[in-house]
Amino acid sequence: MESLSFKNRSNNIVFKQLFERIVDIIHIESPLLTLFKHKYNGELYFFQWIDRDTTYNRWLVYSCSTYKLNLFLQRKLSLSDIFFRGTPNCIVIDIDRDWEWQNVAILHKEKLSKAYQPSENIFFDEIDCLALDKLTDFVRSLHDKKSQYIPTNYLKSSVISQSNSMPKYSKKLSNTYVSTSY
Amino acid sequence: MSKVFKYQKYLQEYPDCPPKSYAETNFQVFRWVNENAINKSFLPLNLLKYPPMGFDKTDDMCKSYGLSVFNTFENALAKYKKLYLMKGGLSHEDFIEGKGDSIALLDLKITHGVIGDLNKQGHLTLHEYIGTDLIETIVNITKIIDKHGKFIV
Repeated sequence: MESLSFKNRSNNIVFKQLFERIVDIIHIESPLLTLFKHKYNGELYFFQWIDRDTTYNRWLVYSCSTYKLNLFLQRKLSLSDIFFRGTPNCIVIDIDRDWEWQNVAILHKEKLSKAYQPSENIFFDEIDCLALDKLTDFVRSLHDKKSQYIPTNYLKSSVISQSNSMPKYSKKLSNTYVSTSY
Repeated sequence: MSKVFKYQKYLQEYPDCPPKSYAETNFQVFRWVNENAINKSFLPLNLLKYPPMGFDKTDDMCKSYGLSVFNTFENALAKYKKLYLMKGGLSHEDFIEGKGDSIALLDLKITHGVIGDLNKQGHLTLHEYIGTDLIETIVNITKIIDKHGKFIV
């Protein structure tokens, strides 16, 4: 596992308590990509497994707006797109075998090694999500919140064009609303 | 053959482990194996030297004392490819050490253990009985990736 410079080390116990696990988006034998929500500001974060040694599993954490989450679930954005189009910093967390969060660090994305950056070829595939109903319900709950929304019909003709190849998940969203927050 | 589970001392720490829905069955399944280290290809995730992946003790701990198998070669290959795409900082060699480089067809009999929890990925979990040697159940092995990381099937 790569040695990282854990400057800007956070208070790990407090840090862990800030996040609420929502659902595993990619789960193959074990979670590989999990959606978390910040308990206090409601922001969404992807936790992506990126490495391990005999002591820790290492997770890459980066923000994902509701808008981008929708595009990811409709396979309009890759995981790489989510990563690079977000804030300039990301978080790396080493989790030990007692599930304690260790070595929490904030890093500039450009300083993250290529091996740790999400592949451009990773797109959402509903078969990877073993709790699709939970994911769908969560996304619906986001849409139900009162904020800036625009009808999906608008997006159909602009940003998001529906296609016959769109997965079932996307069709479930077709009658809902998509947040414009970015 | 004994019907005590091979990893009973761990399984008993979890409720309903393995779940009562799991059953003995004669069934052919597919498992990732390392062609050059077959004898190390049948260890449950939780008994490898690495910490369990996940975020808390509710994460598949019972399952992780079982073995992952798939109902078809295609499902086994598809999930392997996705995992490889997400291997992050692992070298090719490290990935192969953990997940193998081949897919073996296993001919399971009711005497080998219980199997269950088929999910939409075609993934099942097998809990072996004491005395089971899965190497003896191998029908054939298909190599799927070369030493450079190129898929060959």
